[in-house]
Amino acid sequence: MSKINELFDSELKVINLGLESFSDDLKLQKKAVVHVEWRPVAGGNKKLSSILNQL
Amino acid sequence: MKIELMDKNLYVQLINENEASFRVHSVFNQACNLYTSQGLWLTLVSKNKWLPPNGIKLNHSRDFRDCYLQDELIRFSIRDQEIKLLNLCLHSLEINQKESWKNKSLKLEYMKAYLDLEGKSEAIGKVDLPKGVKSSYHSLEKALEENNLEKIKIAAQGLIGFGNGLTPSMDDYLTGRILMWKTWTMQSTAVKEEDYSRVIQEASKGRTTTASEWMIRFAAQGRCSEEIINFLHSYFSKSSGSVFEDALKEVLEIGSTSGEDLIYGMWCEGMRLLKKYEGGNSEWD
Amino acid sequence: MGLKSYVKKNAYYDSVVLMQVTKELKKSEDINEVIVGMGTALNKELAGNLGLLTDEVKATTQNDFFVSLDGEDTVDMDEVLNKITELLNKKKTSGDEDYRPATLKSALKVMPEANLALFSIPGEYAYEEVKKALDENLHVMLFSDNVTMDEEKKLKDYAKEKGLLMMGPDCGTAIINHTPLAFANVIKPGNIGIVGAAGTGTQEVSVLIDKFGGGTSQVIGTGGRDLKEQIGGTMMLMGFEALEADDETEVIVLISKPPHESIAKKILERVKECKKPVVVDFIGGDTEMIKSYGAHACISLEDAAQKAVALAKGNTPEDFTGFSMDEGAVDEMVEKEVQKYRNTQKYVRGLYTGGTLADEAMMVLTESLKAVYSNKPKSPEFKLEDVFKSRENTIIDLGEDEFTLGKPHPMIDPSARVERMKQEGSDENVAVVLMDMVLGYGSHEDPAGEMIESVKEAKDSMASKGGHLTVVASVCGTEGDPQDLKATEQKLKDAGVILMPSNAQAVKFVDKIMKRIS
Repeated sequence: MSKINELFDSELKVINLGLESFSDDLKLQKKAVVHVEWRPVAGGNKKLSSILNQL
Repeated sequence: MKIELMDKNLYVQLINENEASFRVHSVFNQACNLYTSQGLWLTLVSKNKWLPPNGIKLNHSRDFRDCYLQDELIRFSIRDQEIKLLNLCLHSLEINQKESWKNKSLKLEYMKAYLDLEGKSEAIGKVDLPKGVKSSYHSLEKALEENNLEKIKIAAQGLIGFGNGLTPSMDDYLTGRILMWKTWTMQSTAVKEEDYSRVIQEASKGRTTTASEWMIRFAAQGRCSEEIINFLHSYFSKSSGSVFEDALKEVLEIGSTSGEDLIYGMWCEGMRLLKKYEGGNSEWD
Repeated sequence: MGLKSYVKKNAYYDSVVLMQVTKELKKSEDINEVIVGMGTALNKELAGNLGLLTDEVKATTQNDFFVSLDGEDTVDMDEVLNKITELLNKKKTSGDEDYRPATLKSALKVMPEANLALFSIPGEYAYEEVKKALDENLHVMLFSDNVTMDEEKKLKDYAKEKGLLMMGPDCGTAIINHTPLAFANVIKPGNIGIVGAAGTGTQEVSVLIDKFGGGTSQVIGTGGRDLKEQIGGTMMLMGFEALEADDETEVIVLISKPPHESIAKKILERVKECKKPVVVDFIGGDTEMIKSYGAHACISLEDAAQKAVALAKGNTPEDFTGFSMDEGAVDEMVEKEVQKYRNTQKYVRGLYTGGTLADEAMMVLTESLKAVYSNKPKSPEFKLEDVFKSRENTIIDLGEDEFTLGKPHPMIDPSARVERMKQEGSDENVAVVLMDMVLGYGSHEDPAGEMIESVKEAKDSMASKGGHLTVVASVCGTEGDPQDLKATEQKLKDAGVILMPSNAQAVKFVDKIMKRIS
């Protein structure tokens, strides 16, 4: 069975990264969701990301 | 009580001592501290939390305040369960590919820059310290340079217990320093210093909260929680920028400023060691 | 001055509670000094230095908690203390019920059984983050756009290698295991599976399937560019194969804007091998080609839904070209509107929040009107010089970048359309305003409510000039949606909006009016 068909046969469990409203909507429907307070790499800061990029 | 994961060290101790009853010290939303009649300290955490030293992770995430009351006696046994064990000792860190000196320097730069950008104003790195504490802070730096254990202890006595939180800010800072020192010396023979963690542990007795005393004690034993182990691993291993940053983020999530203070302490100690043993050891390259 | 302290022996508060206390104390400017902490020697020393060492604080030991504050006479210190003790003793503090992990990895620690990651982060960061999710064997839905075509190809190829769903980038709609994700409606469960490369097109088809008495098994999104030559239709094919193998699915519907010819062939070759009936809507695409591969072609999104439901019930699908109500009655309605126009009124303005619905409108109206201006016209000569100013016959997609820079999408925030409606109403050359009203999760909680004032204003404005503004709309929503469908429809009708059962019929109705005017 393909992984996609396996998904169809399982309970949907979502990790949401980004818009909180998407998590809220899933919670409203009593669906399993974990919301990640996603922040960009290096806080979106150019100086920080330039350091990281050197690694 | 269904246990999902446990500190290996704690497991060995509990199995040998056949402990089954525990007094509740303090209860939080997703964690609960316990102690035994022998004075052993342990922490229950929900499945949402990283495993702390002497920790037991349960397999639910219900509010612990609904399950436990401060000072009550609870009983459970670890004998009749198959439990996954986790080694939270720095000794267990397996660094397969050592990070280069240059990158370790970059990572330190990153830690500081991240704290400068995102850190809270009440954190140790940013806050205005009162005179006495500031003086002890500088004394400590000097004493560490000299690796003078007696002076380190005196300086620590002027720092421990200062700051807000269940683990006061300075305690977190000192813990960060200890953990960085210990890991650094495990990874390199270049550091020729005496281990100062024991004197800091001695200095902490009676000067701070019980929880913090235990945190420092664990650090002196070379033990710390999962996310800090992960961070140290990603610091000392060849890792990509994003892996390092993710590990950093997880530690920063600890408490309100605890994580920041820990990282700041690690940064201070890392900078000191990097500078002192700079260019000295080919092991780094 | 008011010096007050609060002490709790052997008390341990977590950081969330302490942060709330600190926040509360910072609120009042008239509180001069404050210290919150455990009764360690150094904290007490600090309290002393700040003049906050009351006797009870002095008596604390390191495992006791204290708050000490000093404020102006204007501050009711007792009240402040009450608030603090309330916070400290509150059983559940809001916001700490759900743990919010900082990264995908830690989210997986919390929910190791997670099987899908939904991303709506800025596009420039999406590639790296999505790759991490695919590495962890998670299926992915990527709502974000501003991801390069190259990145999309890499992600989809990687996902294909791993056998995972990679829905997007720019995928706004999916319903997996009957769970609406991002912008999607609540559709009755059934045996029709959909793979859609067009967000609101997928929403419209699924909503109409529900309306016609059918239901969906799975609704898979692929993102708008899946059927471009460079991407090659990877997700549409993977989704198609999964539906083919899915027991719950008995009819498959594919929706997309007309794909590149080679891709269309690739998809249709695969469709040909399928034993289940397949409805293919390449919106405005080559219907003969589709039929030649044994699939059912469509003339509109509504037609696709009708055909799917017919097949789902084991019936023979027929082209649905007309109206739900008697055509004679429709013609009467047209007449009624036309009679009220001033002779200056000759144009239609389409104000759309859904891209595919705007496309459908343009497709139909261009046939009769030839010149239809837009911010994304069928041919470049009809590109609006200023997208904020309509010209002659104009259909706009308010969801496009030029309208959403720094602002939420119009399905979430109707205000952009509200302004435009008033603008069109004050243009005496406009006869008809056409719009969509999309409900479902993700959309505004009352999009109709937000529009009716401006609709009335626009109509009044035209009436005051001796003319009449026709406003036509269709509601893309179901009874199961979080918005109240009946109330939505009623609000619109009460405001004088002519409601048609589908976008296709709304457009055809407008088309009739435009033919009558010319």
